[in-house]
Amino acid sequence: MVKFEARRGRIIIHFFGRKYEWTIEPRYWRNPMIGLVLWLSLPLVLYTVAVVAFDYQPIALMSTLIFANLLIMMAVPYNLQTIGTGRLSFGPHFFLAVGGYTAALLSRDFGLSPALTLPAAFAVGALVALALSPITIISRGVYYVLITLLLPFILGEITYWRSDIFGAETGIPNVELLFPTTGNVTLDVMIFVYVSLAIALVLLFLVDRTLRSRYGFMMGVINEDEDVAQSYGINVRQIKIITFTLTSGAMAICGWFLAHYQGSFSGPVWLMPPFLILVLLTATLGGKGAIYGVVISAYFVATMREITRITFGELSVVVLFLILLLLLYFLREGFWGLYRKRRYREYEPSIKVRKKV
Amino acid sequence: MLAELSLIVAYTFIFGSMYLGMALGFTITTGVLRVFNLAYGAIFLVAVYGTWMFWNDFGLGLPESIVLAIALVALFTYAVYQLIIVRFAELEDYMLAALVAVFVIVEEIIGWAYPEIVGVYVPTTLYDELVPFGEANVPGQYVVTAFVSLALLAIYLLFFTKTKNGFIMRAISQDMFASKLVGVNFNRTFALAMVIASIPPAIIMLLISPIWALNPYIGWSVFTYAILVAVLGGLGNLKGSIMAAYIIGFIQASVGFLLDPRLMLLVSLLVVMFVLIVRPRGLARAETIW
Repeated sequence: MVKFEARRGRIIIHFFGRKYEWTIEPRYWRNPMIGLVLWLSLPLVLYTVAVVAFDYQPIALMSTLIFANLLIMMAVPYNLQTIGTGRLSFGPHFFLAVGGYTAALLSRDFGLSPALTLPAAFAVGALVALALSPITIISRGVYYVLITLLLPFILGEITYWRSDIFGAETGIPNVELLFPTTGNVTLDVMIFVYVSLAIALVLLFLVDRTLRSRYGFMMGVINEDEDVAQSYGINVRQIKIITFTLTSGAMAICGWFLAHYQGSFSGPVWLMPPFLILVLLTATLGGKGAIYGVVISAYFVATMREITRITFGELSVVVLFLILLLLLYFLREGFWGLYRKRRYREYEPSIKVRKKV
Repeated sequence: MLAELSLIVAYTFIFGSMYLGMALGFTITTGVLRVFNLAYGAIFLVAVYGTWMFWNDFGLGLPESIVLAIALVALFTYAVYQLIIVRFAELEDYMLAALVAVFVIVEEIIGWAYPEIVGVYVPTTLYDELVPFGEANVPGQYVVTAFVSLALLAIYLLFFTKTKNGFIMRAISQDMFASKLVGVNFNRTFALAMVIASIPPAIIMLLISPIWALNPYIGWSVFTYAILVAVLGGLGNLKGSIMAAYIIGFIQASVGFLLDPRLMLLVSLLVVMFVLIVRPRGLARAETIW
């Protein structure tokens, strides 16, 4: 029925006529699958440990996981946007706010359900990005940084000017929750953890497939040198506009989630520079262009944020940013760089040339 | 209508000169180093809260406190240059992220040490009376700030056109590699440019602090004006910055007095965005600082 067989370098499992193999040597393990299993089981494991070992309802812990997933939702499309446009944007949180306001306004004023506000938030985020997409072609270097840095300020000013619509700092209340409450707060939070994780996972999968596709290679060339990309016959403008539009729409989904998770949406909270820095540092500490590194850095940043909040109180932001700055200082290649150094064979194919003696 | 016109003219001059003073250092840093110093906004905070610290907490006299606060600003800028800009010179994205992080760290430390409830007030008022201008009256301290700003501009222009270090900085801003070939000490000149660029915003902030409501998070809004002027002017070009400062001053004064004061910053931001889309390198191309 079930039989284990040890062969050289691997274990073979016979299970009801089916045969499964497991390679013993860790360097041949299928890392994405292990990572995925660990990631999916993390909330449940943490919850079980907290409840069983410490008799503690870990709502704050679950909220930290949700924040980590939010950072992934932002940083993963942001990485793709940076690669595909060859530009460094300082306005990812602008699109979060666009998505959040769209979802909140449609839900409160028109009574639309979260299932309907999701495509609307994505569409509005993408349309705004499409209207702004010429800047990815016209502006370069620090000018692009500046224009994108001004966008959240403009939206912030609009929210104060039309506070009758956007509610300024109070925000938009009475937004329908993502699902009807179960009556058990911990269970509700756990569902939110898994919904945010699922969104982050879908975005990660889509971005991964894009980067591995023909378009991913073209984006890589654009990121390296636009003139070279043009000379190869790549339609640089088209790829930039599409990348900017779709990744911005993806960031708007993060705003959609926030609005339906919190039951309200307040733009100024998310349009402030500290959140921008968290997104930037998550993307940077993950490793340049390394989308899997973003997952590690997002969980690291969110955990450090919570630890410093508990330990240092009012000075938490100072300590958190000092820690992240030090990491930026000493970890030039980010978390993914550490992994690559250990497993270089998978990423740096080398040709062995035998010398004739 | 005549009173409104007088106010618009007066405040175009006042706002324009004040924003020029705020953006002067930013323009110099960008023009000479070709670095976008996103920690610049922290200078405004260090200047005012540093003065308050020396004056109120250490019990020093106001003039000594101001001198020490400006020295603190210079030290802070030098530290930012050595620890962030030099370190991440080849990695622009890392540098920009690190500079914003430094700004937020300074902001949070000040917010922790001197929360809004403390009521920080630096008595740097030089002229307390109203100044008549046509049909309108404007606060004297605003007029003083505007003239000090213009005086600072004149001093810096003299520095750039008459001194050896000024020539070197202009040479770097014209062609970095050619200036290296003729033996310019880059590290020393960059550090000097950073330090001298930190003084005008510190002085302007000290002068306007009695009029503006101070709080630890005022740095971003003041920095926004500096960014608007520098960007519209063409990043690192003083002639462009002078033009841009008065254009933004005019927009703010007109919108404030004719439309809605709440729209002053929004309209300025939109105009700068529009200009940047039409003229991606600002009003004056940043070929050289002067």
